[in-house]
Amino acid sequence: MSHRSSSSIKALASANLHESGVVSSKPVLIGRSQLIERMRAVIERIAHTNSSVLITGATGTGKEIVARLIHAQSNRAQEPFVDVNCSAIPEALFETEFFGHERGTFTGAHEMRRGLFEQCAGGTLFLDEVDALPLTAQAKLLRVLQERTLRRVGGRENIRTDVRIISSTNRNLQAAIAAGAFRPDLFFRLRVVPIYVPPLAERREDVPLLITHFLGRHAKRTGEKLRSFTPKAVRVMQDHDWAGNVRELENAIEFAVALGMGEQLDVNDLPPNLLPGFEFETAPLIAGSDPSNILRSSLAKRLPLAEVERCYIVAMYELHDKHSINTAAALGIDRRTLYRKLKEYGVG
Amino acid sequence: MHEERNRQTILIVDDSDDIRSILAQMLEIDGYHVEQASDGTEALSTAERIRPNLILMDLRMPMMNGIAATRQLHEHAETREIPVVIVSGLDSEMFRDAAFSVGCAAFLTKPFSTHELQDILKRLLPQHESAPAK
Ligand SMILES: Nc1ncnc2c1ncn2[C@@H]1O[C@H](COP(=O)(O)OP(=O)(O)OP(=O)(O)O)[C@@H](O)[C@H]1O
Ligand SMILES: [Mg+2]
Repeated sequence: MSHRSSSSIKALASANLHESGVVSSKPVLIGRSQLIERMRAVIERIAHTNSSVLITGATGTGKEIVARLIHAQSNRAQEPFVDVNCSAIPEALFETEFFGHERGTFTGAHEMRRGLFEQCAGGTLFLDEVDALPLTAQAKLLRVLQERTLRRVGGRENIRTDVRIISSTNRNLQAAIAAGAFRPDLFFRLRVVPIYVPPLAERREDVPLLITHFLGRHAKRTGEKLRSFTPKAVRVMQDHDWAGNVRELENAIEFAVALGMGEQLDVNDLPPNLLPGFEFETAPLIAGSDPSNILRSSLAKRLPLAEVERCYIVAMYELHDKHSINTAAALGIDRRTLYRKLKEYGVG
Repeated sequence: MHEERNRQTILIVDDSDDIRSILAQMLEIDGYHVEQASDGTEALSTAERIRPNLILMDLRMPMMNGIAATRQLHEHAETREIPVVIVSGLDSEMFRDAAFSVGCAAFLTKPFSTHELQDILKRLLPQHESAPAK
């Protein structure tokens, strides 16, 4: 890691770059479904090339694992894998962050600093959430990819780049192009090899394998005894729609191993939204619930606005010891409006 | 005695004897009547039998965890109106979201002060009935 001259950039970089240098543990891609096997074959075929890869797929499907796996199977495996979340880089810092700067270029630039491209020379640069790059940054990135050279900010020298680019997005980049938010020329340059990671619901046969994998990993990490799920719990997980994909499954298992105390974890140990027939509790929020919890629970329950309003008003009323003048004042509404609403709600 | 009849009942559900007795002491000092259960399944049967005014519920317990127990309490007409306060050493978005999605009324993280507990009880229990015997 090169020396950092600006503390704000330093903070930014440590927040964005989870990993730099030789990848510590080998990424594991679990799955025996046809969809995963096919993807694995593509990865094997293209890993050794220097082609840019664009990984698409919904949130939590495993895009980052795929990126790491490509790097780990490439000739660059011993070189750095640098992971940068594009949505976390402010537009104004893009250039110095990616291409570095010369000494004395701006206030605080006491020393020359190498950017991400130079830091991962010979290795792989992973542009996570690449759709978040602003258009100005897209133009600068495209130029460097086309010319294979870069100039540090404030520099004159053309520096050759040797970086394999893997990008990922859970957005529809074609739609972004149509909307004028993403450059088509950059898109084609990034997407020499397109890899689509399918949602977990399209490869349910992988669910039991993933469950075993996460249970084993938990036991290994904590030193706890290896546990298992009842067949019924496994079936519930296999039938779930997994909008959050593998990440949601991973979290569900963390939930179960944290709350369940039995040797075998059962349906009851799973997060409640997985249970068959589960509907978010639609009973009225109990009067007097902490107003600060109302938003959270309303979101969790996907409550309609009118219901949120009702809960909030009733909670505020309780909070003010049923003092209507104070409640109305706190809510910024007329006292008669408050009366009317309370009457509507059957509260008095 | 008049106050006795008006006293509110709180059901404490926790698998730790120590935590149950500490909580019971705190609550009894404030004039509440306290009942106890040591796991989620027992919580269900006790709640149905005694119909407490409020339940303090641990998360991690044998037989049935606190989230599953709260969910089942709210599936039954007899117990669905009883406010459940999760009292747990486990704190994360994941557990909070799950707790609120099954309708718990508040989430209290151990360790907590007597004051925090009193605040929650004051909010959730109708005050005119709870007047601690004084
Ligand atoms: N096939 C898999 N085998 C093992 N673990 C997986 C697999 N797919 C995903 N995971 C795990 O699931 C979690 C989410 O995966 P990852 O971060 O790669 O998803 P992502 O597609 O990059 O999601 P996002 O779009 O939200 O960034 C990670 O903890 C990852 O280790
Ligand atoms: Mg990701």
